[in-house]
Order: sequence, then C-alpha cells, then structure tokens
Amino acid sequence: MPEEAQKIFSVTEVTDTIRNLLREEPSLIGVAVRGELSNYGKSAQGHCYFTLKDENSSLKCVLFRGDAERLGIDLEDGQKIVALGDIDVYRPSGSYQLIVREINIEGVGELYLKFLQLKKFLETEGLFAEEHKKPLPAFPAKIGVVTSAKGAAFRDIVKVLGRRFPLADIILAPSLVQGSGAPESIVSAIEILNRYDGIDVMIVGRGGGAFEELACFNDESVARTIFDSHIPVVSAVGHETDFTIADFVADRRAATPSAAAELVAPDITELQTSVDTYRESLVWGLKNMLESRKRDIRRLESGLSSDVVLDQIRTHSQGLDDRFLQMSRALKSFLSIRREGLRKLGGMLGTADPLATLDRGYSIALRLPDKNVIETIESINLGDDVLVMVRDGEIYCVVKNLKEVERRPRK
Amino acid sequence: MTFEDALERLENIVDTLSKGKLSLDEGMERFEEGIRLFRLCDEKLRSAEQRVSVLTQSQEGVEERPYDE
Repeated sequence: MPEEAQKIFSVTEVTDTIRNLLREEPSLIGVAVRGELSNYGKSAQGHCYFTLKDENSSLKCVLFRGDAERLGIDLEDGQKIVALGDIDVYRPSGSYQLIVREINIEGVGELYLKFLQLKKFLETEGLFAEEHKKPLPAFPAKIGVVTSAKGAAFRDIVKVLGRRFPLADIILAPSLVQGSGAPESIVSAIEILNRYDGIDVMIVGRGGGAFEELACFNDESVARTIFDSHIPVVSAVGHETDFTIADFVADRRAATPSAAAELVAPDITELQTSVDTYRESLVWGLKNMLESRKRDIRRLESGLSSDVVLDQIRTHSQGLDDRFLQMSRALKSFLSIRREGLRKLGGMLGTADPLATLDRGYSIALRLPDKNVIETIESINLGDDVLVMVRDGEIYCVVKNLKEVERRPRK
Repeated sequence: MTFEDALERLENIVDTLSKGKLSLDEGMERFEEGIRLFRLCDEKLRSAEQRVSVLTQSQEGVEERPYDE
C-alpha cells in the first residue's frame, strides 16, 4: 500500500502508546491483586521477580530492591498474597507487569498446601524410607530415560553420557512433562521401561520450571509408580533448588538432568586408567613372583648340604630356570613396550611393594624359620634366628637382646 | 563376557598374583588370563559407540527405533 496513506510507527512508538494507556488507566494505579506466588527469584541487583497466579491467569510482578528492603518479608513460591502496586510496561520485552509496593501474605497457597499434604501422607506410608532405596548398578549397559523427546533435558543427558560412558545404550521412553495428561504419560513410560528388556537404571525428569510446571512430579500416581519400579530410578527434576515428591521417592535424587547422567554411570577415562593400572600390576606381580621363587631356590641351596638333596634341587631348579627364562622372555617383550609407563608406575606401586623399601635403604627383618615379618618385640624371643633382608642380600642373625622403645605415635 | 565381569576378574587376578603365593605354572596362567582380560576391557573401552534409541508405542506394542535429534 502507498506509504503516504498509512503512517508507519516504530516499535518504540507503539510500545510507548500502550505504556501510556496502561499507566493512565485509573483502575490500574494503586491496584491490589490477590494470587498465589510462584516463580520467585531475586536478581543480582536485589530486585525480586515473581508471578502471581490464580486458576486462569498469571501476572508478572517486580518488587524493586528499595521496596523489598523496606518490607523486609520472606517471599517463597506457593504463598497466597495480596500485592499492591501499579501496572507498567517493561519496554525491552514489551510486557506488562505489576510494580509492587506493598505485600500482604495471606497464607500458603493451595497448590503448595496440597504438595505438603501429599508429601506428609506418602512419608507416613513409608514411600521415602531409606530401606526401600535400591542401589544403582556400577556399570549399566542400558540406561532408560523418561522425559520429553524434545526437551533440553534429554539432550543434556545424551551429551553427558556420550562423553562419560559411551559403553551404555540410552533408551528414551518419551513422555509429557507438563500440563494435563503428564502424570499418566510419565506413569506409562516408567511402566514400559520396567517391562522392557535389560534396562539397568532409569532417569526420570525434566528441566527447570515454575512450581506449577513441575506439578506432574508431585503427582501421587507418579510417586507410587516410581516406588513400584523394580529398576532403580534417579529423579532429575528442574534446578538445584526444586524439590518434588518424585525426588523424595526416587532411589537417588539428582539436582539436574545432567547431574543424573553423571550419577548413573562411571567415567570412562577413570576406567581406562584403572584398566591400564591393572595391566602394569599384572606385569609387576609376575615379576615379583619370579623373583621370590628365585630367592626360595637360593635359600634351599645354601641351607642344605646333603649331596642327594642338593642334586634333586639342582635338577628341580634347572626346570624352574627354564620356565623362568621362558617367562622372562614374555615379560621382557612387555617391559620393552611399557618401560616408560612402568617406570612411572614403579614409583606408584613403590609404597605397596615391601621389597621396594629395600631399594630406599630400609631393611626388613623376618623371624626364622617361619619368615614372618617382625613388627614387634612380642613376636620374637632371645636366641631366635632372624633373617634381615637388605637391598643386595640377606643377613642371618641371632637375637641377643630385646628392649622396648617408646616411638612417636603413628598417625 | 561383560565389561563388568571382565574387570572384576582382572581385579581378582591382579590381587592373587601380587600376593605371590602361586606356583610358577599357576602364576603364568593367571598372568596370561589377566592380559587377555585386559585386552578385552581395553578394546571395549576404546570401541564403545553409544546407541541412542526411542521407544514408541503402537497397536502392535512397543517399538525401538534410533533417536534422531
């Protein structure tokens, strides 16, 4: 259409017109509004934002810091209040809101009251009891998820598990997570996963929202289905601060869907590290075993003089030596590949391997003939034979004296 | 053998071997088994590829199909 026929306004101009209309409407100046408080939050600047609701409508409200400090009252979701103030338009978002100056708290809102009643009721029945909590599997192969197929919650879970534990398959049983029909939908999804093959653990939840948006997780049938699930359930509803009935009845509560994903599966990098460590320990275990057998043979040789026995032992030890050689070769091929890693690990295992203390200049005393480590003077008598192991050999001793010495108490 | 079983068995072998009470033959056997288990675990960890799927309910029952973002 021709431009001269139609005046074109800027967004600001239109917004200002609406703003002026509302600001000048007498019935919206100094208006008192009754409703249930929800979605309460405080900004970094100290302004309070919330929504007033009744069955059909909601009204955005802001209580500026100065007024909040003057009123000095604690607001929380679920309170039934009367707020007095003026309607204004917030231009950046083009939305109208009530600028609150006075607040009168009338009591706990009906929704919140229902929540408290149901919580109390189910708690008394024992649905939250610790004894009913099932442990989560250490290595789940299939992780079930009950949430919306479109929501950020499922994407977050897939992302975290993809990074942390790609070994497990993820199976989504999609459900509604707000509005009417959501409770039935959640109940059915949990039941489907319970009938499905091989699910080890499930996450039930959704992202954050206002108290009434989380209502389906405060539903009694949802709570009972979670309780009846034979698969462990991790609840993951909303943010850190949102608590629902589902959280109380679930086997574990996670603050957010991402946190739930971390809770249900181990971290693959940690697993890789422990698997690698086991391999090193295998090599060390074998090496230590071979060395200890070698020491046994030497001891036998030095301790016995009868030619016949000695001969037998030599024959025997020849066989052992062959075996030893064979194993050493297997070991060497390992060691040559893993030498660097082993060197590092040597330090790590050092504390666990008593023989390593010898390399650090300590000695180990053993009672003979049973070769028990002597830890206290109680375990040895005057005249007993003692074997002292040092870095490059063994010293055979006889106990000449025993004396008790006070040591610093060990931590 | 599942990853969990393999890891548990491996842990067991490392424990027995490090106690050093085995005969040479037994020790060698355990060592070889341990290395086999290590390879199994290692491969499972390295080749893991997550499958993400969605269950849909129809008249015929529940059907599983790949999840598509």
